[in-house]
Amino acid sequence: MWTMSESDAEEQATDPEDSSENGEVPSESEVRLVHAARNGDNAAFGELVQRYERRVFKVIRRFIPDLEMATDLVQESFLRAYERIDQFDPSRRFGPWLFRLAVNLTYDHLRKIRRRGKWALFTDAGEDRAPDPAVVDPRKNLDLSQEVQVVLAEIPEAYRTVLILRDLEGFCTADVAAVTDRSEATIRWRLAEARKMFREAWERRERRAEKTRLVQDDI
Amino acid sequence: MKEILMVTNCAEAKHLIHLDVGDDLRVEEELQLATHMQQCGDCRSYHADMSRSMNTLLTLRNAPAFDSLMATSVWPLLSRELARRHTSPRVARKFNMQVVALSVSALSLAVVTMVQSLSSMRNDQNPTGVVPGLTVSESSKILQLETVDDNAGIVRAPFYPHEAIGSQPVSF
Repeated sequence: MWTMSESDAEEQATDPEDSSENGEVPSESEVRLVHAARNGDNAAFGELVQRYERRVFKVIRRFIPDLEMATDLVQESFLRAYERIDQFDPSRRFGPWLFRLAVNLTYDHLRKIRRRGKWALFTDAGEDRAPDPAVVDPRKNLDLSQEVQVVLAEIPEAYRTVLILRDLEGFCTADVAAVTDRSEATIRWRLAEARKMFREAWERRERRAEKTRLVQDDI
Repeated sequence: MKEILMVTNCAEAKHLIHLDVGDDLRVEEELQLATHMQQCGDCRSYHADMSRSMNTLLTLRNAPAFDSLMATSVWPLLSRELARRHTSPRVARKFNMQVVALSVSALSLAVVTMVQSLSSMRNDQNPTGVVPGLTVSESSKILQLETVDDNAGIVRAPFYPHEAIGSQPVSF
């Protein structure tokens, strides 16, 4: 049986034809702005912020539904970019580097929430209880996009990120590779796996919904 | 020109299908998949299922909840923060040697206390200071260590000291 693993994908990445990221060159205006920002020009950095903030916000919102928290994380991402702009390689594009900072910050935030939940003295009651048939299930009110969002949350983080960046945010695989600091071959492998995982999770959800419907019809 | 490799099994074809539904196949891979799908009904139906699931996922792409833009730009706040950082003097951080000195003293004290208590424990167990089982043979002047083996009785392990030791029991 044919089985390809992530390590096989890494091996394929040594193919020079595969590394298209190296072929991407930053635009002239961006190089100028980054250069000025590195020399302490705050106005140039401001222009970079205004150029990227909406996109960064949208990516963060895919992981953090809370509007206020997402805005805070956007601000934090740019602050971090400002602090570390000396470490940025100007021969590369600014965008993927910035998105990497933003995605890493978002991961850190999510991990913090998860840790807090694990060690909290009190947890949400009734999380694992079966829904009361007398009460209208709030999940019924979810529209399709919200349901997709719930299913998406079931996918492991590394795969979900690839799926979000490529399929929902429209990044090319080379950019996803740059943002996640993985080879393009690994990203293609993860993308295939992530789509498969999503399909399986969606089918599971549909089966569950069908079962619930049948139970309710019986009642 | 690159030779087009045939997709030999459905597992490989499915991997390509996962990529194909998002337009992520290279030209040669597209040809491989098309060739396989012409002959495989299962993979054709899998492709149709995957396309449906992909369309479901894509409903999230332009969902209004994620399309909402930020109310205002973060730059005004950010520029204020950057200006504040520039004006406020940096707090100089100095390595605190006192903490290190205190830790080393505490550690040394602990080691000394431990060594002392160990030696006093040994003295309590053997107040004569004679090591049991350690005798010097009169005839050969060979220091012999005796250990008791449950099965074989006394086992003698010869030991040749560099210096002459009297017939007195060795004490430390």
